[in-house]
Amino acid sequence: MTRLASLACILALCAVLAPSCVTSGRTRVSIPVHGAGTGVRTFAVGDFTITLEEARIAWGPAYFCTTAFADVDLCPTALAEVRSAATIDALDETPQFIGELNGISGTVRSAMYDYGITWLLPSTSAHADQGAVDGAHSARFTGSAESAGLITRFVLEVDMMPLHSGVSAAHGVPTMHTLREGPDALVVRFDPSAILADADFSGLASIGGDPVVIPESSVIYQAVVIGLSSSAHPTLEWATP
Amino acid sequence: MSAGSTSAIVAVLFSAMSLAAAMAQAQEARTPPHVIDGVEPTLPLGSAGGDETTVVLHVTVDADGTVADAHADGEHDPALERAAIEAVHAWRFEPATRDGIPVRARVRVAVHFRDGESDSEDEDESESGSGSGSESESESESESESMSASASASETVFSATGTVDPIADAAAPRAASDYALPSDVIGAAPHRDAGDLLASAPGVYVARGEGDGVAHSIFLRGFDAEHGQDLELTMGGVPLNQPSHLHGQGYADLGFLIPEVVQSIRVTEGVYDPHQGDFATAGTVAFDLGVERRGLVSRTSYGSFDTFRQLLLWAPVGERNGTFGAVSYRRTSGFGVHRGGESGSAMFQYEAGGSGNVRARVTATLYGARYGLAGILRQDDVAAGRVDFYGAYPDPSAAAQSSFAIRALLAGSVDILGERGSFGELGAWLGYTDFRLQANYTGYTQISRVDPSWRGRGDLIEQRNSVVSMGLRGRWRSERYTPFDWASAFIEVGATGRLDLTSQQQNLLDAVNNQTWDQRVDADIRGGDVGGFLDLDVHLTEYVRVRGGARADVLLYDVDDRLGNFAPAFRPPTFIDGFRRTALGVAAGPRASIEVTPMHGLTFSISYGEGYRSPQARTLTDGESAPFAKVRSGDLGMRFAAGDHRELELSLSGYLTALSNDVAFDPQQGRLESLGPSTRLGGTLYLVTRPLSWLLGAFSLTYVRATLDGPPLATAMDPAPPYVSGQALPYVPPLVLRADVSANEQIGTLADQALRLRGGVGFSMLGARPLPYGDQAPPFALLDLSVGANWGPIDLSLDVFNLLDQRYQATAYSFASNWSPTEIPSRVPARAFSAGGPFTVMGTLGVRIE
Repeated sequence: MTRLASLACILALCAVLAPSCVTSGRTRVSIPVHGAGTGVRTFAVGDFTITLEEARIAWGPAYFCTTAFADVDLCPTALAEVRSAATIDALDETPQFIGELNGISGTVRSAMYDYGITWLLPSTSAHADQGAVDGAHSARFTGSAESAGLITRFVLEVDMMPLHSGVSAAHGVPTMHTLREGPDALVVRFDPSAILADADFSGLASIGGDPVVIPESSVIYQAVVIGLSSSAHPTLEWATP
Repeated sequence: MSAGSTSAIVAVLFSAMSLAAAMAQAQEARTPPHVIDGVEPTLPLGSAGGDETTVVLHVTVDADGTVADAHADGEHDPALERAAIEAVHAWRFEPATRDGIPVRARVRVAVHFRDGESDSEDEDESESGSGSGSESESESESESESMSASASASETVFSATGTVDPIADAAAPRAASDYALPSDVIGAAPHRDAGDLLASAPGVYVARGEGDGVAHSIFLRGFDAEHGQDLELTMGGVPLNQPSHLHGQGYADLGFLIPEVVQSIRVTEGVYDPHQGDFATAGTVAFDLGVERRGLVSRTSYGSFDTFRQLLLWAPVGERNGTFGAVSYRRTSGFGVHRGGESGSAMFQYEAGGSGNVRARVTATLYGARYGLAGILRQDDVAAGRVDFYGAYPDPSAAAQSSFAIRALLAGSVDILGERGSFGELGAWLGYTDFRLQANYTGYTQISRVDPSWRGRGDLIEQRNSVVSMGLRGRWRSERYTPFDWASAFIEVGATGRLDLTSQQQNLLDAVNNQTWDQRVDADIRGGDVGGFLDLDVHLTEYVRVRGGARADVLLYDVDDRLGNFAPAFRPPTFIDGFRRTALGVAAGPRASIEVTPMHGLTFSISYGEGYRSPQARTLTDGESAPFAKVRSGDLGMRFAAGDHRELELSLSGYLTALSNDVAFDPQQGRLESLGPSTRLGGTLYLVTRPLSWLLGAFSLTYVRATLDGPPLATAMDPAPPYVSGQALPYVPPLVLRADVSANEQIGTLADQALRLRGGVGFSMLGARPLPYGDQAPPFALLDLSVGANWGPIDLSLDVFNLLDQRYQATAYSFASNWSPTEIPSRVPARAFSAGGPFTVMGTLGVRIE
């Protein structure tokens, strides 16, 4: 009771002196984040026609920075963040809710993020997050590659490992948006055809197996790693739902 | 009084006037009280105005010979009244007796003030001690004799020669926001330590968020003075702030101060006195040391959290209040975890030459402390139950947080009183301080610059700052110059100088074995500050007093920055590490105040001044004209005093303050970083009331609108800095409310010893504090309580802090941190805080031998 009484006194005085509550105009914001794909299952990569049965990609954790290039040195303090990873069905163009972006109002200019595998600063190695694909990988693609009537089924499981502890697998990803209170949302959209665009499937059959399990040493694997880390980032679409 | 002195003659006539006593004398063997030891009233020069005045006091003398109460009979000049009462309170009596048994008695004392600076006849009169003494003698039907002599049992009139104290007159308040906190105000409510005494000053909030081994954080009317960056702190004229301290500019740890020897505190809020030096941007706090009640005192305290304190205080009878020796030891397990520690302090001071023209004072202190730190917690971690509000993170680097402090100080001063209000003062001091802090504010975010592959070892910052300081001060004030009947003036010139030899290091430590895994600072700084000032004190009629002048300081630095030009491991080195540089600059500005007293007890004042804060030397470039933060402070206010014995004292002030470069705590670096210019507009209401002789109330309300005018501009590296122009200044509470109430009265006698009871309450309330990134720390209110009883030599007290057991954030921040090394880290700024103390009880047993 005494606590309530003292609190009431405080609130009453604060009400009288309301002009004292001068702030910087910044507010805490929290907006939903959705993942999505393009809906395109079949596409051409060089001489091959790729048909995907499955394209699941893990995304997060993600940090959004005010700096033009987001990395651990230039952006020790982020404006907003998604502190979890979630798997996105990249063959479904319908937005799938994957979490919340929490932060402070202001303009973000770049982002850095992981693909479900995070190397925490105090750790000696990277580990898959709970939201990783099947709890273990950054991405999983299954499907077939057809060329000259020859169809080869494949399975590709990619692990996007950060280079050092405390850094993200993808950094300096440009995005421009002003976070503010009110309706807002972020859609992280993956394009599997872009991710696989630079892959060379010509050696796929020589690996052997059915389906062919593409190893880490494969040029296909490395092309996907390069795509996810630099050339085929997901598009970050800021839109009111 | 010595020949040639321009001082006034004070004759003190002391009579036993009680009707009951008079009747009893006829029937019983009764003796009135006799003065056996006491200081003489001093005449406030500026208040006397050349007129003769008699202040009549009613004085209650306890059975133990101490003055229980003294208040004026009739209306007098408040300054004269205060001088008389303060003097009489310091007297010690042989108590009145009835049939040989000491009893309480009420007597009347007439204090006759006379300005005799230009009248040699007065001096002769004073020496004879018969002038005004005889006059009162006829009233009191007593005879006159010297106060220093023993009075006979039936003749109780004394005469004494008062000494004029021009030094006290020169230090008289200059503005409505210049507060002198007497012992009854600062002693009204319980206080945890000497630094906490400042909480009783208007507009001041004091916290100790970094544990008992680190300096208090002080907030003063819109300034986040941190550990002293915006607040000049002095003790007996010795500066306590440390320039270029690694943990915070102007760092001043008051832990060494033993609260029982703090006699009064002068809190000057604003800058308008040429005596105010470095760091007086928000104002100046001056601790005056002394012990009124003489004797040998032992105080043993024990209470919550296994806290134990022992004090031994010796104030020799017959010596001046400023002579004492005190030793204190404290240990505690601390509330929560990692807050335990021990500290010890010894303070000695000797004052000589009380009534002569030469006074000397020597002060020596030695202090050491080591305490644990619980650290700063994220509010979301507390809310999620990952750590307790009063807890600490279960992490090796959190458990390794601690503080260590040493201070040794030797100071001496000589005052020479001249004629017609003139005096000279010369002082010198030599000090050594050592500060070491291990603190982790951010958890796990840092990467080594020496080898970037060293990362994630915990952000345990080690700071060490070791300083050898020495300084001098001197001033001379002229005789009173009276060109006209209606005008008189003093002129004062003075100089100060200090030299600081500072060694400072900041590293990152691996908590397990305290292994260094990164170096951030390694520097030696030689810093000097040579200042001079001119101060005029002009009386124009009895209604107007103009004071002011100017002050200038030359600041010089020689910095040996051993990590200057350090090339991080990813960049090939092109130079040998290390960068030596020197810089010099001048800080100068006027200060002035005008006081108008249209009627008795009412004074209006207007003041303006420019002060400065010296730079953090390590941030200077070679040859830079040592920049300093400059403050411009204007103050408009009034003071009002009423009542026979100061029943009401009221001051009201409004102020506008502009600071050229503010700073705020940067948790990433664990130190203060620049924020840019800021402005404060506010007002303070301060009320002290003594409605009854045994009841005291002091209330203050301060409201300020503090804004950041030009925070660091956005850069490519930081396009959206945490602060925007016009926003509320972070960390500063706009609203501070404080109330101190006490009751103290003798309720009777027990076994021929006086039995006295007392109680006190301290109430503090803070409005919401703005934080970076638009966050706000919640408001809170605290209630402290003290009750005590005194019986003869025995004194018992019980102090309760945070009576309502409020959970409050003593200091609050907003920054990115990560205390969950096995979870995905957050990089968004979040509320972090250090917990204030919970409900705490301390019991104290005191024994006094006189």
